[in-house]
Amino acid sequence: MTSSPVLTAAGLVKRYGALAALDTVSLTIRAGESVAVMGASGSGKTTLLHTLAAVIAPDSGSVVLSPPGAEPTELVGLSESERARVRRTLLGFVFQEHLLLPELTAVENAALPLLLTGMRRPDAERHAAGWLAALGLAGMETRRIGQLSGGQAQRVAIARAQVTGAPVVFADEPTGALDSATSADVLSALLHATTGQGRTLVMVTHDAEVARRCSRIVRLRDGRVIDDTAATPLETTR
Amino acid sequence: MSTVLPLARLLSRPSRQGRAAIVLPAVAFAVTTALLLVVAGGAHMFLVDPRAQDTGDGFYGILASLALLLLAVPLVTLGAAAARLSSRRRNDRLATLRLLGASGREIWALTVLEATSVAAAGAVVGVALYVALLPLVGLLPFFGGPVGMASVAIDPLLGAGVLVGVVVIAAVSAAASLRKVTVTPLGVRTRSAAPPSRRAALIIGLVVIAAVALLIANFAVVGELLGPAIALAVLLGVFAGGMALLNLVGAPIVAARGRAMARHARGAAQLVAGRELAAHAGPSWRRVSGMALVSFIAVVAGCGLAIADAAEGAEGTLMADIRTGVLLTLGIAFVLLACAVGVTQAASVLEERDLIVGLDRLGIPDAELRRARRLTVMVPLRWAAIGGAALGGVLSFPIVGISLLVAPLSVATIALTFVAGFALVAAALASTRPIVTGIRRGAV
Repeated sequence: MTSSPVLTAAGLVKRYGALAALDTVSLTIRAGESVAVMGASGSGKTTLLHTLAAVIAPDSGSVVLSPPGAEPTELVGLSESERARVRRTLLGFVFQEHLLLPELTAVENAALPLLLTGMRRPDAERHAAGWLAALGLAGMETRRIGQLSGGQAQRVAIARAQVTGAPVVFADEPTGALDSATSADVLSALLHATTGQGRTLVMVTHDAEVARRCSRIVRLRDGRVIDDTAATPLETTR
Repeated sequence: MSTVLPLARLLSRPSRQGRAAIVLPAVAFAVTTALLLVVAGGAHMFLVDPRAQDTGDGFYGILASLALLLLAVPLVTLGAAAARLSSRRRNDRLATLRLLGASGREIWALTVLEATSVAAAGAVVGVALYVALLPLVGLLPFFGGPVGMASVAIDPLLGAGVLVGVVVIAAVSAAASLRKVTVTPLGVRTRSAAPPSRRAALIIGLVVIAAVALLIANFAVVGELLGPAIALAVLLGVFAGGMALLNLVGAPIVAARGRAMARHARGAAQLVAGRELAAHAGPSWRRVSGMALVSFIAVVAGCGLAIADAAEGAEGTLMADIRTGVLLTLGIAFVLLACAVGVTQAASVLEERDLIVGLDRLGIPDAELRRARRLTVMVPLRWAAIGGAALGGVLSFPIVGISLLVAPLSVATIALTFVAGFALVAAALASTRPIVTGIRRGAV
């Protein structure tokens, strides 16, 4: 059975001066999918991720977010503060450089999005600690980020992305700063925390090994989708 | 070194990169220079004006020179902050130059040169600002009426000296502050010292403050033993020592306050600010430590003057003039403090550029981040004010008690000056908002 679309982009155009970073890109992403977005530098993959995630607004086109059990929301045309609210409540993010607050402990970092929604701190930290434990970080809740390895810090970032129950998680080269063994572990954790829970993962990567662990690979060139196929274990970079 | 000037010229080309980050220190130096020229002009007037000799018997000159010395402290802080901002503003470029083979020495020279150039440009603007302000300065009431523009206009030679002094202080403090910054091909890092031992600092501080209070309480005996001039010098030394001690205990107090804030935080802003204060107590304290000096002066001088309000004739004029001088010094110190806070804050925003972008992506509201930033400045500022005032109160306990009883209005005036000063620092913080907005929009 095909699951329902959670993110539908149509005719996305984004220009930076004369350069077309996105040239009429259309894409439908379904609930529970893991989508790897690949392409050479300057192909538009990060611009696509930012547009789908309501970080930037396209020049034209449409992006509709349809979280399960909620009304669909057209992201294009929202004000900056409305886009920020959508990102805070409905979307999760994992970056290459984990971008955690170094002064905060692991559990405080993971609980931060919940505190911003107004949840009581003990409840927020309890919920965040549950996610940390699920990601293999039980017992490390009170450690500062500097006391964690790169892979452990990235797991904290995954917990932070998932703690609000966001139906869609965006990841920008989440394993780009890790060695291959840690990269595989972190990717497993990321997939477990997202598609493993019926949620959706959209990930920019240049690593074919990482991409083939996703359910689908979208390739971009010069701001256009040139290939959109299901990933197979034999998938290699073109 | 021959490569430094061409590189500096290349890097000074106009770009979208952080306009506010260069305007802010330039404005800060312009304001500082204008104010220093006002104070230097005033000090010169008090030293040579016959009215000052008639009324105060040389006392005016000593106090004006003291005010000038006091204002040098926030100036040095500002110079260091401007240099740090310069290196942060050029973060990527400096690292790239290192990658291309520029030596650490060349990068150091480039940064000091840039910070000094910004200071020099700001200082020149400051001269124009001073000229514009001069008619207002002439209206200040000294010697029983408006002092007159001609009296306070600075001697051109002295003015040039102040200008050179500002630029030299900026260059020296820039060079000194860069000792803590390492520019590598991979980026710019700030070395941080280990946090001070809290218990030792607190114990030493309290013991010495108690000893100082004992000395003050028995000042008449000390005066008889040493003679009035040496006793006065001892007294000034004691006050300076008190301030140094306050600086010693300031960072541990801020750290303790930060930990308590984080422990009891209910919202994200308090949690982030509390942890930030606990982890970086030293820099957080140093950023606002000038406030301790300001409030110390306010309590000691202000309350002393409140009692002397009853004086009449020449003595009454002297007391009224000193009160005006104290309020002016307080006001100017607040402006300098606000400038230094604004510039330091701009540097810290640029240091955390990636994190700000990341938090923006997560949808963290701008207002929440601003609140956290405001707390990290205002909480230590409040403690610096309380610490300076408490130290002033302890060291001149009888005067403070009497003045609260006999001249509550004067005490209220000083309190109002503080409220205005806090508002000024808050405004300086708000002035860094365009940099944060620029970073969020990817323009910086």
